[in-house]
Amino acid sequence: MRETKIGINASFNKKIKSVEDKVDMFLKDQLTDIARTAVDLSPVDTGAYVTSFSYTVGAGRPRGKSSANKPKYQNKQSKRDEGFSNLMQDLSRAKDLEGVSEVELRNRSPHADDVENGTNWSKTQGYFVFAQIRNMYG
Amino acid sequence: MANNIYNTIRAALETRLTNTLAGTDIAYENVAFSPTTGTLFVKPTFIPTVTQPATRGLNPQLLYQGVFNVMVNAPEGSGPSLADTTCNTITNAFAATTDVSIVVGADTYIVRIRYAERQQGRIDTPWYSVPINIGWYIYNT
Repeated sequence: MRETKIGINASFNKKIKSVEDKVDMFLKDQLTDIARTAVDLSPVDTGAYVTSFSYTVGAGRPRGKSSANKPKYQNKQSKRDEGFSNLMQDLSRAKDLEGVSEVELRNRSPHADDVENGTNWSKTQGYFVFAQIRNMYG
Repeated sequence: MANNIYNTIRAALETRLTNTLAGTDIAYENVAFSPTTGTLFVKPTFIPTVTQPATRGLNPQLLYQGVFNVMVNAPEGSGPSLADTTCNTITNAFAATTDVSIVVGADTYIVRIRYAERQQGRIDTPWYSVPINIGWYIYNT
C-alpha cells in the first residue's frame, strides 16, 4: 500500500479563507450596484414594478406585484428605496454566496415585459431596464 | 468631438440597419410613422449606457457603450418565420466582433459590436414583436 501525505500550513488555509471573503465581498458589492441601477432605471407610477424586483439564489418565490387598482403618482424616490431595500433583504438572506454559481435578478410583475419593451403601450416606448443592466454589468 | 459622438454612433448603427434591411419599413425614433397593418416593420432605439475613462491620467480616452435595440414587428397570426428571417438578417449584420464604420468629414469612426441577442417574441396586437438587443462600444476622446 502506498500513501502520500501532504501537510498544509495553517497560514495557507487562512490565506485561502481571506481570498474567499474578499470574493464574497466583491460579489455583494457588485450585486448592490446592480440593485441600485435596476431601481434607478425603473419608471415609477404605482410602484408595483419597482418593488417587484428580487434576487433569487436557488429556490424561492420571486416578487410580482400588479399595478391594478393601486394609486398612481406615488413618490418615486420612496418606491425606489423600497425596491432597493427588497433586493438588499434578498442578499442578506443569502448569507454566504460562496459556492453559488448563479444569482438571478428577476421582476415578476405582470407588466414587466411592457416596461421593458413597451409591449402593449401605444404611446410610450419601453424603458429597457434589463437590457441596460446586461450591457453595463455583462 | 465628444458632444457629437453619440450622433455619430447612432448614424453608424442606423445606416448599417437601413442598408441591411433595404425595402423594409423602419420606424426611426421620434419620426412620425404609421405602420401598415399586415406589413412587417422594425423600430430601432438607441440607448447609451455608460461612458468611462479607458485609461488613467489627464484627458483620458473614453469608452462609450450602450445598446441598440431593434424591435421586429411581424403581422400577428402569420407564423414566426417572417420575424425569424428578419431577426436572423439583423443578428448576422450585427454579429459579435463586427465593426460598423462611418466616415464623418476626414475621420473614420468604428463602432464595435459586443453582442447581438434575440429575445422571446410576444404578441402586441396586431403585431408579433421580437426584440433584439445589440451591445456596442467605441473608444474616443
